[in-house]
Amino acid sequence: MAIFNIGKDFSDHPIGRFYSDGNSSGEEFREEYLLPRVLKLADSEKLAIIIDEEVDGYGSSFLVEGFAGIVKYGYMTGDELLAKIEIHFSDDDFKFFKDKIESYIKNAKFDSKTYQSTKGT
Amino acid sequence: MNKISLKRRNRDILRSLKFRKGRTYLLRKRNIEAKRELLDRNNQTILDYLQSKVLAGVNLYIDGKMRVRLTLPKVMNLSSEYENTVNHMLLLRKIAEYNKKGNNSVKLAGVDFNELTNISTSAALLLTAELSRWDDSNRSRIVPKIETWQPNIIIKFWELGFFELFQNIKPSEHGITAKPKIRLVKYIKGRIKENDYRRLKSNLRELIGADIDQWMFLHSGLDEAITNVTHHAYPSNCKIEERDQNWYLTGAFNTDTKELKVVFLDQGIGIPNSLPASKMYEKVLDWLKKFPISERKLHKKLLEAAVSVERTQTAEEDRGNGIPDMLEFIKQRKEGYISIFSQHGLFKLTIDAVTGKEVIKTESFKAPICGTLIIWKVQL
Repeated sequence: MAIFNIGKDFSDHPIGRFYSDGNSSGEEFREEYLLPRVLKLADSEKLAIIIDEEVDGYGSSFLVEGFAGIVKYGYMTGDELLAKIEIHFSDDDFKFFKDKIESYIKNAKFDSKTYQSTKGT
Repeated sequence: MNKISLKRRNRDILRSLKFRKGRTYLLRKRNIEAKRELLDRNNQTILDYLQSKVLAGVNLYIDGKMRVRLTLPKVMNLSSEYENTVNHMLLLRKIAEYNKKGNNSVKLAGVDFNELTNISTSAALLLTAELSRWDDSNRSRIVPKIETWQPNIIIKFWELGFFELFQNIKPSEHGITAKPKIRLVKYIKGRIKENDYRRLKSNLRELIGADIDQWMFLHSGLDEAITNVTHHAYPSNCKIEERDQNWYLTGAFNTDTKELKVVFLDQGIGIPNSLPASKMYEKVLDWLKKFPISERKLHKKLLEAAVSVERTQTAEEDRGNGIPDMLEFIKQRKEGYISIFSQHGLFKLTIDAVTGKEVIKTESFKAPICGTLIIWKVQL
């Protein structure tokens, strides 16, 4: 199983929705970190995402854009994405964020928006 | 009923003020009237504004060179002295904007802190932000003379980092060493698109001597407040200059009562003004339909509508102001309150520690907060 530790491999302060919101945004996370890792997985392989190491918390804007954006912009369906990732945490309070991530993915409408990068805007 | 003349009306107002507020107000008003002839018509409006603030209770004096000296009141507190506190900030903002347009007939000579004996953390951050804005936009720097300030006020502003706006001012040189019961974290200022406030957590931990339970939920709320600043507080068509598009953050801990307060401020257009451009505006209008038309434009109602609509949004409708994230900290702790002051309105959600009941309070104000101020208060 491939492992992706958000705090160590991406940022210890993930924040904001778009590139245009500043560093470590949900859009940056999705486009440059999560999506390439998910697409690289073999058919039956899963990506373990550690959400609680060196990270203090997440705002909804980051989580929606970072995770549900994959479904919203039509990269894959919610079910496909949920089948490819596993959210891991050792601090029980982070279950709140795991539930949020899964809820955002489940409720996102597949391919409901056309993606336009905000990089450099 | 006879229609009264303007002259008569003005006389009546002056007489009622004389009896209501004493002679000081009349003297201040006359001080402004005496300066009128020194200014041309274009500059009269600033005098009208100063006069309106004097009538609202602001203590100011204009000298012969048309320089304004503002004296802060004894108490500055957004809970008990809201209008008077905010009116002093507004006056600073007005003169700064007047000078920025190239009008220099009236200038700010100084802000007198001598009478100030008590200031809340939120008011201190608001005042610091206003003077920082002044400092960013005006070449004429104000230098505080702290020799005559109350020691507790010096310490409060020192801890807040207020004196870093100025050079070479050290309270220790004035014999101020005692630690107050309300300890403050040095304020953090960020520009739009800047989002690093991690120092707050470590600084608060230093003050408190322990970690804060459920910090992650406050962290989420602050993340959303900052993201909000970029998305909504300073839209591209707003008239606020880029250098003034900032946010401010501080925290305070009462060592006696163990109360923690975290205060976040932006100086943007405010939530009520940002709603029409928001994707949830239609739902806000729907929510407001249950109230009389006269109430629908009140900022307190717009704030309540924004909170209510966002709290009932589904996960798919993901483009709100992040308000639910801001409420989560006190919901998870099951006690405390969050106050959201924006423009002329207040929305406050309190959770009773004993019953766990949520109580919502809204309020309208005459004087606006120029931006949005969010206060979280919990008991540790």
